[in-house]
Amino acid sequence: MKVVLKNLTKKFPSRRGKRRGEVTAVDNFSFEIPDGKLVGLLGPSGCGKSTILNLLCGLERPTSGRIFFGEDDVTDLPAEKRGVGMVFQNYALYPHLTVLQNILFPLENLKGAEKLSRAEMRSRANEAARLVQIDELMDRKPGELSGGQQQRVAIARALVKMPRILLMDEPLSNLDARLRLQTREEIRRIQRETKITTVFVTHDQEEAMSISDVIVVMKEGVVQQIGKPQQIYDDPVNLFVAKFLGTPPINVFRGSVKDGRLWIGGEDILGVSGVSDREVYVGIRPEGLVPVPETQSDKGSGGTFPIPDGPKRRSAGKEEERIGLPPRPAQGSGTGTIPMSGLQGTFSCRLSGVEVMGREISVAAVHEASESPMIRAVISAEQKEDLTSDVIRFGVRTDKVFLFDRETERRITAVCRPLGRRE
Amino acid sequence: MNSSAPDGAAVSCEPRVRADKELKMDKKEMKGWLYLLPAILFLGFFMVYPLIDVLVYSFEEGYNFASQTYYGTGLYNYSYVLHDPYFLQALKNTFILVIVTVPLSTAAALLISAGLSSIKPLRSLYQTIYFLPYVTNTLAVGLVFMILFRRTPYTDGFVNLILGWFGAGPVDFIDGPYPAKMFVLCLYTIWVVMPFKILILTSALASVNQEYYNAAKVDGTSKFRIFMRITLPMISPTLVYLIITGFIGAFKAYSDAVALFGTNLNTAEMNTIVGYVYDMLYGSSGGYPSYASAAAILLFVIVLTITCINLMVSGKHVHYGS
Repeated sequence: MKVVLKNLTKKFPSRRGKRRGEVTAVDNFSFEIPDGKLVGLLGPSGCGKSTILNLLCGLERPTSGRIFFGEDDVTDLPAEKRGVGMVFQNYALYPHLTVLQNILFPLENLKGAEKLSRAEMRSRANEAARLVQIDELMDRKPGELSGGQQQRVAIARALVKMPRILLMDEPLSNLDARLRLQTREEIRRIQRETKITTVFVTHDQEEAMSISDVIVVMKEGVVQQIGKPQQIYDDPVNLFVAKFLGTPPINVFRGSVKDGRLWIGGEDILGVSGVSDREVYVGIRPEGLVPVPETQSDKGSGGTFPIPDGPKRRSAGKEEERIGLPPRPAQGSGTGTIPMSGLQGTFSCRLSGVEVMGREISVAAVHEASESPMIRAVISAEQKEDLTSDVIRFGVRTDKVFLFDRETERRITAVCRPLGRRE
Repeated sequence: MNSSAPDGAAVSCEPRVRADKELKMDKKEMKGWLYLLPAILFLGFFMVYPLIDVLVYSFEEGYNFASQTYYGTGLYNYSYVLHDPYFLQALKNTFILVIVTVPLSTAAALLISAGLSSIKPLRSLYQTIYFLPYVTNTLAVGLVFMILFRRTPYTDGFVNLILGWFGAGPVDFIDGPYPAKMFVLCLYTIWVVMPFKILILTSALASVNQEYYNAAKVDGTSKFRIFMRITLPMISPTLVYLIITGFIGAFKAYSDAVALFGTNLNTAEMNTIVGYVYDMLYGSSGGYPSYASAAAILLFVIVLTITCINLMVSGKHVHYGS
């Protein structure tokens, strides 16, 4: 079932006694959910994603706009007539009924032509239970189940009436980390098997990225970006989206574009074209910062680096010195372990810590132009770097650098290229 | 059992450890009893002792308060009470009162509180209005009922006025036929006990998680079915509480009857068991404490039995949280 949302707006009236006027939870939201896809609504809490879910299932009425299931306009249809399945955040399993009775509940509501015989209901319930692998637990009460099992029962209850669409409100938020990973796969499998158009809401970008076909990133009721997970990650439209996706989060610096070069702090790190000179935010993904061995970069540079507060270095503000910087570690001659092509620019920070995470190493560093107190780089653990000196220099991967307007925070389309090539 | 020698040493030190533990437990237990002592003393003096005393009185024939003497012991008191037409009348009245008012008042309170929780505007106003009878004095309410229902030489009363509009003849609800009087007593009782039930039930209804209702709605459940299959089971513990306390309260009814029909309840045929006990205790010529005790014990047995049945029946159907 294709679901179309047209110019959906939901305003909640102001409450008496509170100063704020009416709250716009969803603002002119238009989106077409393709048939049989798993769509993740992603955003921080209070961004209106749950409201959209409630609008879809009919628990809330939109202030304006229309909702279509396939060709049917369901905007004015009450919740009980929409035929949607919903998995609530706290599962909302009826505690006084057994698992079987819970799953049967939606079927017992069917009336008229849809009415099923007892045996049909039973077999449908068993089928749903088997799908989510809880057929052993049918006689238990919800209170006797673990969180993950309750979650499955809730999914079975939502699926048993063969809904036109399936909605899930923060389906994984009540599970512990290990179970979350497992259930994530489970939801993906069930969705693939049933091919029911599914919309789920989450504030966890990792969750959304990992199982969604399409992600809708929202902020304060407004859609920021819609697309495939990887596409949004690689090509965010604004600073908010860039910041919201990815762990560890993207590093954001105050920078500027001047004379076709991108400056952060006192350093020019990349060449840019297609942008006029202006103040920008520079976002660099953690995997876009690749530590460059100190010794190697030192060789060609004559040993002067403009590093703020860096010991052993005097601050050198003169441009000439830095233009001459270079043989940026680059061009194949690297350490042999990092593919250095595509890396350019030398970007210096004060090293503040190294976290070993097993598969990879997270390097924490400080930079004065950074928007956050700490910047992070993620490198493979196999890479044996000398991470002991207090200054660390990074090569920057041009495809992991995004420029955003300082005022509007919108993405600036620009072509970044290594500095070296220009010289 | 014979244990090998090396084990002996290990075993020998165990008793001491256990003794230490027991000592500790004893200390803890003593502390617990100490904390309970005031309550136990009060309960013992003012509940357990009188209860036993009443039981003893009920077997002592012809006990006299003034001389502290009795003729003999036996079951005569019970036999007398059970054959006393006044007691049988009181028993009948009490049972009618219980059977009529407890289900009706609980059902009405449930409907009203369900209505109250489904409306938004003016809810607290309505809640206050429905709660008012609870804080009003029983006798004052009885007076109002008298004005509404009593026929006097000067007026037929307000209710008869209304009955007259529908062509029904004037009925004397206070001094008239038995069913009329019973009707007023039941109505009065229901009216008096309902506010408390409404208060308790509205808070019980409010505590049902809204998500259950949302889930049921999305699943296409009719309003009636939501009420029967979700609301009722969710508030069942509260309902059971209300029904049990309602039964006990109705069995102990007395002041309501006095408020409507005055203190001479026997002649009005409107006496209750508690009223009978009271009359026996403080009746003419120093009273008959032995009969009163026997009647009181009979009431106790009835209430205990009904409560046990209640608990047993409800135990199967009530859902107490998860």
